[in-house]
Amino acid sequence: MKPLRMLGFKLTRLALQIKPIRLIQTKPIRLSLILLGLAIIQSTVLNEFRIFYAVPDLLLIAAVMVSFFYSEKTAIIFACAAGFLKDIFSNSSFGLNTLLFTLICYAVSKISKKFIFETIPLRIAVVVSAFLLQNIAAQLILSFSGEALPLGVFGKICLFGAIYTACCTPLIIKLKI
Amino acid sequence: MFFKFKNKKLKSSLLIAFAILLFCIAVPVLRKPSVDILEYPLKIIDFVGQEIKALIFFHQNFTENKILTQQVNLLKQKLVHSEEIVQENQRLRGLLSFKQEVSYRLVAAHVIARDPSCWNSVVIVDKGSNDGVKENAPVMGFAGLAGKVIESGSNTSKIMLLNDPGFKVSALIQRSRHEGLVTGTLENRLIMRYLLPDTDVKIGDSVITSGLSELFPKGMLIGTVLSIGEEYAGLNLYCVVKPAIDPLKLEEVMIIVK
Repeated sequence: MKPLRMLGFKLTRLALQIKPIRLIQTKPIRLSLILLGLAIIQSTVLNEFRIFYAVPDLLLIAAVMVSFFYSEKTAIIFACAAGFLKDIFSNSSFGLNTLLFTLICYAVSKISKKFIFETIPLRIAVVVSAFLLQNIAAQLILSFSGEALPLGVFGKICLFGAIYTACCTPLIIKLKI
Repeated sequence: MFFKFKNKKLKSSLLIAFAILLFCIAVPVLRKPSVDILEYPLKIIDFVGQEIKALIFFHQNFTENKILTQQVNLLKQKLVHSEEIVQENQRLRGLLSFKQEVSYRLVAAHVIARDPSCWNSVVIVDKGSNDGVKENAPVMGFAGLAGKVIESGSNTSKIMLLNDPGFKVSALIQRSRHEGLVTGTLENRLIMRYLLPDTDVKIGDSVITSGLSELFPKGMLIGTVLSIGEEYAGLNLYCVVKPAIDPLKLEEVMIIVK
């Protein structure tokens, strides 16, 4: 058993020295992989878990988390990419989510420099506020193009979406973005 | 340069804001190639998801299969009977020298992704312009109308389902032939508006496409009437329609390509 364990140990050490693994550990690659993974999960698997037609916005949670932990520049680039990934699956006439994500994450990045959001409930509160803000803004813009939803349907989806997003936030925090 | 910025930070911030705005405007152009690139990861995840679902709901699928097999046998008998009626209809139409309706060419497609936001009902399928799918092509589920193609990439297409708030189709109450406009509500319900106050409509009536617009062929089943009400202004009636297909559980669709 001992030689086998030694072999396993040596193989693991060798694998860690291989460049692709080190490459994944670098910040831009890791963030890109997380972003792509979350976008694919959100547009495929997560649809099976809709509650009252609401789904949590994993991309927004990740973008807000990046705004907490990284520089303003990284936050804006990440938010822009997250919004773009959400836009390519939807049918808005322009990059609605790209614009809203970028603006929201820029604001969060600025606010997090002045105030400390260290506890998880505070971070969840920021994510929920960002979610509500983004949805209200999106709905206002959609209403100008004549595609406004009845207020009851909007309110219901917004409420359940916010609760669902709040429940999923600790899971994204555990990803240690 | 028309403007000279003394503050370098302001200049760079404005440049970044301008670049982001340009990017936002360019998003619709970049959308098609991006979805095509993501086709394979989406297919893999969808396949894995389907397999897991099949394992989890094995018993439910087994019993459902038994019931459906019985139904298929029953429907086969009905099909033979309706074939007779179709042939008789064709003979009579020939006698009356009616214009023959064109038969459609269908392309079956699999749903590989959905709109991640809560505000649209859009799905992405694994067939695109390489398979003959064009924009605005009508899409059918196995039970009735499912939506229309809004974007067609080379290998993928984006379909707006009939419960999307932006979806509108001219429709008829099949029994009384009264017309109205069916729109989506995002939920598993549709609204048929602009029905005249004296419209003969009952709960359970079938709603079909009227064929007035060139987009959708006449006679495609949209759904059945669930409830009837009076519009706020009192000038028209409206009815809530239950779609024939379940937009949230849609997995396969058929696109009319010709």
